[in-house]
Amino acid sequence: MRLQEVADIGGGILGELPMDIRAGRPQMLKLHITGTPDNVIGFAEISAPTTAIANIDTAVAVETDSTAAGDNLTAGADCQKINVICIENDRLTNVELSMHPTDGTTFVLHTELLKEVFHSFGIAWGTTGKDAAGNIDVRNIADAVFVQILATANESNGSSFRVPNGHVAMLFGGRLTRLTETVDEGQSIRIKYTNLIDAVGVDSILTNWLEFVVNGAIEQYTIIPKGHVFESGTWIQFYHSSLVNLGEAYDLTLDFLIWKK
Amino acid sequence: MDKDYINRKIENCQGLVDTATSEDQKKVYQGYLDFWTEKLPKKDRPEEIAAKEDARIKKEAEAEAKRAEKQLIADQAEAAELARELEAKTKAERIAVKKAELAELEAEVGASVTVEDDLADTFELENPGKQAYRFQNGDKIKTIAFNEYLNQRTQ
Repeated sequence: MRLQEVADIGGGILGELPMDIRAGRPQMLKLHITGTPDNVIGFAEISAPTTAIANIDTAVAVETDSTAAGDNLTAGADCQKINVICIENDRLTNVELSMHPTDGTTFVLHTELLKEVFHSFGIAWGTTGKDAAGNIDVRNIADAVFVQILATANESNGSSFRVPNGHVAMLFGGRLTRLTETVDEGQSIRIKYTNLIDAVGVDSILTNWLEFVVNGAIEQYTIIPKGHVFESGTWIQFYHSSLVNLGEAYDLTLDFLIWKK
Repeated sequence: MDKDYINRKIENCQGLVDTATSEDQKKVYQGYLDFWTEKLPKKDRPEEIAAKEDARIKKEAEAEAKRAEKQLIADQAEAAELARELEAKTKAERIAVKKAELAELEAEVGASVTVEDDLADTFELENPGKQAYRFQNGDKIKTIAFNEYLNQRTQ
């Protein structure tokens, strides 16, 4: 998952918005997922966060730490800094968090005040390696982990997100590509969206979703159309399933354009 | 869990509580502070934190006592009001009963008067020239003959 600030270059991306929507402070949230569903028919969340979203009403400080001392700020370290995609001041934001100056296993309390954390990835490394040496956690002060970058990886779990208060998100297209040789019914992807009303009592039911299927041979793809708009506060998660065989892989790219109402 | 680790958490939380920018934030940090403070045996808690914790508990207890006192006063007022309502209701019920009794008596008296009036007519028809009642100073008084007549009927 990556979050980009979008410059309003008239006639560019924003020129494609329907009608006369005036997008304030536009951002593009881009997801790239390579997945292999564990379920046939049944659906499972793709890259679920370690702790389901905390629904924090109040922005508070978070901590980072690693299970390896090597993730620190020294020149000869492994991962030195990470980026988290989160909600800060009711806006999706990239926040840079540094590991401990000398020992990655010593947790660091950060001064940034965050409401919800969706994803993290490494952005600065020492000379020893270009991956996390240990499991790097982003957690709250009571040690409940939100997302985790596993050792030897650079990207954390967590693909779901919430549309910040006072904002709107639009599905801005994507592509679902089949990566398996076998010719069969393929895989199915669901974008589940739960708004504030649905969240009361019926959250466990996949009430609202957009579903896309890719089938046939390798490199077959399905274009995901632009246009579906998600209201402020909507919780968006991604689910996948294989239709007939386990172990079939796919590649999914999705873009969401988010702007201030 | 390592004592130093918890102490560092407590220290951080205390710092966050002291520098919180809103009441909501302070409440969240206070929750974290309580969470970590409870993980240490009381004897191991840093003196300053223990003192603050004690002060907080005392303050909470005082607030609770005040709240309870206010509640008691409100409850007493409510009880008095209820008692007044009950009293008023009882009084009204008593008056209603009395009124009903009175109405019954009046009906009985009215009936007996009606019966006597009927008998007076009968007495005067049976005894021509004799009156059942005489009038004295505006009062209607039964005559001796009519009294005897009534006595004979009841024997």
